[in-house]
Amino acid sequence: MLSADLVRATRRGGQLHVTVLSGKQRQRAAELAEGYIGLAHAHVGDSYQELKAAWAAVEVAAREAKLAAGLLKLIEDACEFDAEVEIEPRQLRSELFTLAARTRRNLTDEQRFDRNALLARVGQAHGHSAEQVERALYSDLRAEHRLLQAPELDPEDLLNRYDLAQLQAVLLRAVKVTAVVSCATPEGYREIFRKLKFRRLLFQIRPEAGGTYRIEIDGPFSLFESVTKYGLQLALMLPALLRAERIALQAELRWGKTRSPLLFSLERKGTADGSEGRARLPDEVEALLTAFGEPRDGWSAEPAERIIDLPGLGLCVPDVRFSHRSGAVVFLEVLGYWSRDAVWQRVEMVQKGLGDKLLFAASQRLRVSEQVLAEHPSGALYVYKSSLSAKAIVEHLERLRQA
Amino acid sequence: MPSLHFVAGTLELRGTAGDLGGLPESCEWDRRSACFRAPASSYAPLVLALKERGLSFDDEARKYTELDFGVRAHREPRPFQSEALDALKQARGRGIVVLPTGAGKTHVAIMAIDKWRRSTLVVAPTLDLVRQWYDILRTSFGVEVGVVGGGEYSLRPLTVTTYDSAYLHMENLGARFGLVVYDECHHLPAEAYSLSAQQCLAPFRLGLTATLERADGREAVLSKLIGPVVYRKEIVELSGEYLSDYETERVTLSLSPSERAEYDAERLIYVGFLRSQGIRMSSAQGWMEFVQRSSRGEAGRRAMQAYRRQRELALAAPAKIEYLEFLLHVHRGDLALVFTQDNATAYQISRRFLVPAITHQTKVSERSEILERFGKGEYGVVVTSKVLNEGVDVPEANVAVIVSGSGSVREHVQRLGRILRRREGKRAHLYELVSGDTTETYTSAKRRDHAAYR
Repeated sequence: MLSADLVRATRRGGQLHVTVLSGKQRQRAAELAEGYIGLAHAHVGDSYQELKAAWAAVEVAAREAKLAAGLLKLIEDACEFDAEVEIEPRQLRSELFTLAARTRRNLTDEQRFDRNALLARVGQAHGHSAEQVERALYSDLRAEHRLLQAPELDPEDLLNRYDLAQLQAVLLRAVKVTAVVSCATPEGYREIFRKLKFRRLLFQIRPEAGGTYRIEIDGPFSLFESVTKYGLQLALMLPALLRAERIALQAELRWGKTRSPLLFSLERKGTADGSEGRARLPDEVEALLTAFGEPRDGWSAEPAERIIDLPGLGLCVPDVRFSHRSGAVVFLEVLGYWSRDAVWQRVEMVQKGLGDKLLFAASQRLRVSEQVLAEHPSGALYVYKSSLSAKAIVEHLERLRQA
Repeated sequence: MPSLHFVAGTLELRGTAGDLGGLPESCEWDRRSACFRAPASSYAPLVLALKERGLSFDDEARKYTELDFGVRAHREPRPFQSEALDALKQARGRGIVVLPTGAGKTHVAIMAIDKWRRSTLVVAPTLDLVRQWYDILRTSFGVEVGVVGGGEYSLRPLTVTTYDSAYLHMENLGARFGLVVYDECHHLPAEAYSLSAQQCLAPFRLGLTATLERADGREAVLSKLIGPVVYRKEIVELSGEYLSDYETERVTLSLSPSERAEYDAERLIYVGFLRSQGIRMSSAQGWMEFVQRSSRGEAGRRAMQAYRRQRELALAAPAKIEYLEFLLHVHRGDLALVFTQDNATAYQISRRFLVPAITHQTKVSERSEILERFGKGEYGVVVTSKVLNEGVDVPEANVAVIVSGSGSVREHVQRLGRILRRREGKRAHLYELVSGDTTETYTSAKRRDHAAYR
């Protein structure tokens, strides 16, 4: 990831505008990227400082310095370095410096300190040459690490990474992000909320016109103070947000050394880097919708477009909305076989009162029993063996309709 | 039943109605998670408020423990140390103790840990101070001590960390310590650091410093983050200690003809740029202005390059290294500290003379080992960049060689201080190596502007 100081951006009217690579500049960036990646491959086996020196020798104009530094940062992050451990360096230092101290103390006025003799003596004790000892002495320092592997990166791939990294680096200075998103599938929303939970961020969500949701994201401490403490987590959230079908994002920033309040806005349709496709409906849900191609016992099915949020308890994103000709509506969320905790959380949500009727489908592998919600009027648990059965689902829907 | 939880540096009070009254002001209803939330530092007042209301709750937040051990090596405290501890007790274990450098602030902390016997986190500004606290706690309590920072992450009932690591990890560690000691606590008011103090629930807090006042006046927030100043003694009140006799010697070394030519040429480019841009380096904004403008064009970049090169030539001139060889030979029976301005020169000297180096890249445990062996005389020389400047107790040395340094009087006096611990018959030597007719001559004069050098 880039640091905020490597972002190429301008300030205008309280807004931060990121300079996008395009046209000739993008072409030049691709040339630089190709050169830097090539140099990395040519220096496999060399030390970190040798590689840095080779990169520094590439002529770049002053106006390109930040771009070059950004590209190099991303390449360096993708390189694999490690210490050369022919001789364990810390032990070697201890041994060599102790011997050197003793030798120096015992010198007469006329004698001179002979470092080469000491290097040879310690090397001999370990079956190595003086040169090997000298090389190993500080081999654990970053500057001495060897480049083990250079990244197999296409220049265009690197530029795509760079585009995303610039946006992420902006969010490092964010105190709050508001995203209006629309995902094509429930899985898209679930991915966002899973990531939010994983990143320990907090959010408020509310539906907006056009089937979109407004999600305000910050962290626990934001209730008391606007802090950039959650900037890294917000930056790491960005790829998941950008995978939404549509997104309009606004970040409140504290920018630069003076921490000036600025806004940053971003609108996107589809994926940011094109590397990962939009989430599709899971096969088992597609199969279920096909099975309900014609209404069954008065029930018809369509993909759900609803997020049910109970602050403090959790959130669920149903996959299917079943509607009965009588007007009854029941949502189905397929929990699959990933998490028992998710099942218990849904049970608790039902017990606290969801406001909607919900059926949760969980795999038998999760070792949960339908009995936990057997008689609840607004929630039911359907435990399936290998695949979702339309017949069994209708039985649960009917029970909920009549409850 | 309501329950109290530590969540990412905050406290969540779950299972109550949103209109529950009588809670501390810092406690707010959080719609995002339908619970009351407070900064973790509100733990003590919040628990007290809940108890006063007679509300039963499960305390899932507190993860700190009571120590089942105390101080192993008892040392008779000096009267002012006992007074400081008493003052802290009066303030219910929250407060700041201001004592001059060398007066034994650390011992006040040891006494406080022994008094409250809660798992304790010590926060210090540098890795060297972390190392020092690590050694002191281990020796005083006879237990293994945890370290978070400098590439290490081991948690124990007594743990030491840096302010930077505390900022990074307090969201996870903040519930595990009942007492937190902020060494050199004048660093704490910095924005990020103060957040870490609010994310820690420790009910007992001790701040230690010799210089409470800050240029930005933000020391006022310390009373909120730690507690009030409970005890203060100035240096004049504790004077009467004597330092060793010492000599300082400034050695001016000439650059070789080729180095001189290169130095002059590079300096011309650098100074020419400053003049063309109207930048005055003597002004407060001079350096920042130079950095900003040097990134805007070819001439600027070249000027920055020239600045670095001329500085490099002056700071690590081969003549200095050769003279150092002579000094190390002359003082081969002594304990010598060699100071440099940058890490590269420190490692160059380490390799050339086969002496251990301590820089910010040296891990805490290795620093500890190096200084311990230096103290025992197993190493006669240690080379270090800026890391041993502030606050760190260095084993008794009697020779200091300043190969390069900044113009800071404070840094220079601190470096001199490393060799002045008193011992009968001891005579300390401080050598300052300066490249003649370079800007270092001016830097040297600037840093020697102190009574200790007159």
